Amino acid sequence: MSEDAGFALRVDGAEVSAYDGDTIAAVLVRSGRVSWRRTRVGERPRGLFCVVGACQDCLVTVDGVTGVRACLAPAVAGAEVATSASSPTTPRGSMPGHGGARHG
Amino acid sequence: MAETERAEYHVVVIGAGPSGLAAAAEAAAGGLRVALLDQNARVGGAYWRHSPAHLDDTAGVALHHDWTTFRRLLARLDGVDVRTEHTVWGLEGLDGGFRVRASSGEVSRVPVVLDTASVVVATGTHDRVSPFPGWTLPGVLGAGGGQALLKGTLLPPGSRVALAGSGPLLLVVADGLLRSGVEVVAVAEAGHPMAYGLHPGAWSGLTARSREAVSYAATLARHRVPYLAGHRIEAAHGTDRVERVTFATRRGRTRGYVIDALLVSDGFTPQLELLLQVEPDTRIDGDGSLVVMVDQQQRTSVPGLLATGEVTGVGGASLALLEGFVAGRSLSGRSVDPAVLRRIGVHRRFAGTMHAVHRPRTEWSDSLPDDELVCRCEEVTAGEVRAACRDLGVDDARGAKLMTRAGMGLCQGRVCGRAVADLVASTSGAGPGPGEAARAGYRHPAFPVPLSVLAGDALHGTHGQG
Repeated sequence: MSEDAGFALRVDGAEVSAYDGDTIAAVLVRSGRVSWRRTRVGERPRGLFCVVGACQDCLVTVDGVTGVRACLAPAVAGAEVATSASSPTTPRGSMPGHGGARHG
Repeated sequence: MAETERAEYHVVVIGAGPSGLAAAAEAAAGGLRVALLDQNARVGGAYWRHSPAHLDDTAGVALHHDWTTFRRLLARLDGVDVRTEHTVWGLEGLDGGFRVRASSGEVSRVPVVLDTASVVVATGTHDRVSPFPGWTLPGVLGAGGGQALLKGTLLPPGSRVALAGSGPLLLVVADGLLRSGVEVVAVAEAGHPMAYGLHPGAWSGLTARSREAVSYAATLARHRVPYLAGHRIEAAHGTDRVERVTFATRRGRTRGYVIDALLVSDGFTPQLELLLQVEPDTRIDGDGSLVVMVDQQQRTSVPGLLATGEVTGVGGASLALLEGFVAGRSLSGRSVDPAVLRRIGVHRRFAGTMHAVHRPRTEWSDSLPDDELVCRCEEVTAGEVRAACRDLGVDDARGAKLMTRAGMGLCQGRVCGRAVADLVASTSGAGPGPGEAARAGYRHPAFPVPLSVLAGDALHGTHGQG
């Protein structure tokens, strides 16, 4: 049943397969990734932690929208997913109440 | 900017796990106009997390308990407005009701405003993980999180997995992994489960539950998985991902395992953020969690606000299901069989025993090295929090948050709130209650929302139906 339900999306420009019901996190894990973001201060690698939408560790950019929780967002055919595994991200920039820099 | 979507209901149920599903189905059966909201793409919560491709597939179903109950509840949602992918971030009292604010679509983020006479909060829990050296390495996951990944996608979190922390969840998750062909190298339980023997009455009336426990133990034995009682995590090791874990007994005996995933649960954190926005009466439960107080009909101290499941005290899915049933009945003015209320009492007593046997680790706060992170989001170390206590006179979680930013990041203290409070208490000697931790972590909105959602709400929010 799941075998014929595959569709394609892109992760960091490369085409990958996904299946009906996949979250973006599932697609990333299936591709062998264990982390796909680096923290802003220590550039520490992060991937899944809580897997239920609470911890905000697994954030990715989808179709240009930043701060998307990969563990919740469904994989959609044709979506452009961008990880930031090699460079630090500043996801707080788009959020209310996160205006100040940490050491500012 | 997406236009705000609006609607009105008699009841809005927040969270579509066992208790939310039961509450919504019962309320709708009683003739009420009901919306059921969940931030996931499918209903079922963590307990019945599934992939649609696996709804009828044996591999998927084998991971689940009470699957027929789930199918029966699904069949009863016909009259319910099911709104998945709705992240609720705001709850406020109106004249004679509530306004519920949500963001629809994890990517599209459409502002949604729902006005309702009553609200049922059934937001459940997430794993509690107390910090240990290496706890932020990729591959270290909450045990419930690892299970969510497996149930939702049939993808295991690793190929050589260790489980650690305390509580029955470790056994449930180990069982699911083993059934999926994953190698489980060890289960380290910080507590001493033989202590259940000190509470012989707790199991009475719970034959299904005790049968389950026996079957988990049998699965572990069959696969020759070492079950290490009285072992806590000493450290997770690795550079860019977890590669090894070491466990230690109180007397310093250690064991090490090569792994590619470590699943940890030190109990659960009930998700009270939304509830606290309307300030119902709360209490500290036996496991130290801040929970909301409810009466026998699941009503909180705020008229029209009901709460069911883990937010009223961590007790498992069977209890949550019964509470949801009661909430849905009471909202639609129908009576509840006293046998159901007795059954809830039996489950509550068992939960109390469980909390006593699996006390969360506390020794971590003295032994955690200064350079280890306590707050994952803002990357605040144990040393920074200790220095704030010593040098700046910080003596509660709120002070630590202001001085060090611990708990001020994107997760809003959900992950570290309790840990920071414990660390401050052990450093300053001032000891805030654990409830203080949850309150320090709470802030409006309950989830990070983009400015466009807030702005859309501000532009259209106060002018009636737009």
